[in-house]
Amino acid sequence: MSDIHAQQGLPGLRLEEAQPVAEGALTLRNLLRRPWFIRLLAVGFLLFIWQWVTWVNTRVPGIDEIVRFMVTEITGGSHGGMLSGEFWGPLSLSLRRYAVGLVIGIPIGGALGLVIGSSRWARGLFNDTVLVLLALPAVVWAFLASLWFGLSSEGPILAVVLTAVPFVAVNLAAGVRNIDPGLIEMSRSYGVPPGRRLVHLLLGGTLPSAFTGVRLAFMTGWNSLLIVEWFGATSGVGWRARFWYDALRYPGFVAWIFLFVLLITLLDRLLLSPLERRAFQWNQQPTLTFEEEL
Amino acid sequence: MTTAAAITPDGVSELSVKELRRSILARWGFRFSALAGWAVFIAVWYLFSRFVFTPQQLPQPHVVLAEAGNVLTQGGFATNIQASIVRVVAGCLLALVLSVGLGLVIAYSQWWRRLLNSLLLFIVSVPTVSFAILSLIVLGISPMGPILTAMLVATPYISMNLAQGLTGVDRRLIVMSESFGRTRQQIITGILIPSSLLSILGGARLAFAVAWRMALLTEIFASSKGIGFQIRRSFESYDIRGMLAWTVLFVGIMLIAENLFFRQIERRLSRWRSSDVGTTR
Repeated sequence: MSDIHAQQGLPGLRLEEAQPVAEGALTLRNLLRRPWFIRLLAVGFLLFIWQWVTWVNTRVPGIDEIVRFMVTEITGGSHGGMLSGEFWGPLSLSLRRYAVGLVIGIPIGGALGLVIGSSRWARGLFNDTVLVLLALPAVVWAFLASLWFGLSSEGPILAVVLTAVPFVAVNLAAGVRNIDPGLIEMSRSYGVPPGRRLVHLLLGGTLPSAFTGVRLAFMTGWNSLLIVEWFGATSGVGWRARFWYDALRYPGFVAWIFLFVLLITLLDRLLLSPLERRAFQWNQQPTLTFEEEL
Repeated sequence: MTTAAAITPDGVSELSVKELRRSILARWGFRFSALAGWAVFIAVWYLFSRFVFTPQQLPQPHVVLAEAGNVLTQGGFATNIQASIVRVVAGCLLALVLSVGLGLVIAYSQWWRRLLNSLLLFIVSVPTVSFAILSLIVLGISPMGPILTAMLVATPYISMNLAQGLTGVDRRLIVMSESFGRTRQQIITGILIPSSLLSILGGARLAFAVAWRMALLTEIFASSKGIGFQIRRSFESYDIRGMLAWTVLFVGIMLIAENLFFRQIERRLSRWRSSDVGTTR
């Protein structure tokens, strides 16, 4: 069995800072170099690929159909027959489950990470268990939860908790182990009181990796929530997507999946990655960036 | 213990022998605590299946292991496991081919780096379920689904690491070999490939882990063979024992690939470096 030796997650997706783009006259050449234009190009490229797939494959709904469907769903209009649009109900239910799962899972993972990081014995004791938990795919938790709890809210919540715990634990443990022992020695020999030492050394040293873990927990938790709701729930975003999939209304299904991706992307961009960057500000580069410089 | 005695020359002071002994003790203590960790894990599993759930809801570890052994010796195992592994490997190889092109472009052109960065980040941040379900819609139930989704999720990791490895090459080495009149091919095989190999391998290891899970998920949704299909079939027939047995096999193969296969290659490749680089802490 290996050792939890590094922060898990998405390392290796890091590139050095790009040089600032020279501002100049708005010629075509300059326009091509503008970051926002490049990003626009990327979005356009994705949309083009999607549209191309819809031409090749008739089962894939077009972009216009998806947008129209989503508008009906949000405004609560009729999808034809008895079916009317539902949007805020499933969404708020899923968000509530997600929040409860994270509120339970992150502290557990944090406590586990602190214990693993600070004691060699605890690391040996929990190392392999956490590795196995990390390797377990979310689907298995989804299946187990839906078989154990039926089609209730406990299943999705449990799945979010169980996927969040190992990510937070592993990253926090790595953070604790990465605290410079020299700093601890120095603060001890300069007679810094334990309370302040705890706050400045432990909090300051582990905050960045803790944020990385929390961010990963947010991302993977959302993912597993969708899986559980797809297989074992009768409410929520995942269920709604499944509902339209089973009804062979692919635009509805794709619209919900798109919304799902959009929500986690917004949460990550607007809340998590700025927080993480702030936590990292004083010493290192965050682990997950490789695009923020755009 | 014998090795400790063998490498201790006569002139070494008492202190360093004591230190050596202590470090060996610590290592054995760690191994022992890891063993204790497994014992605790299994004990907790037993307690849960006895007191929290019923054995039907959560079969005991020995039942699951027996079932896994059953599955291993049956013929169905070979076809399913082979299908899964072949698909993931095929997906990873396709991703590698794609990544060589992407990685070169990312490493040497800033414009392309910016464009591809946003595309690759998008792929990484999309929940994997949506790829699985999309492949079900686009391809239906076909063996191409797991291969293509595995390729899709593996590509960002491999290409980013390849680009990173290429940009991390010591420029002075290239300049030096140019001034000593080495050919382009010699520079590529002698400098670029060896010094970026570890980084590529790191990417491949991550990519395999991600692709292995992605293929499982796609098999659950859109396949008629493979580990994922078997897990889904057990789920649909309320066979928790079978589900856990297949899961144990899935996790086992993943851990073996990570810790034995990739780590061995990594160790061999990083041997030429100084001992503190590229090895685990």
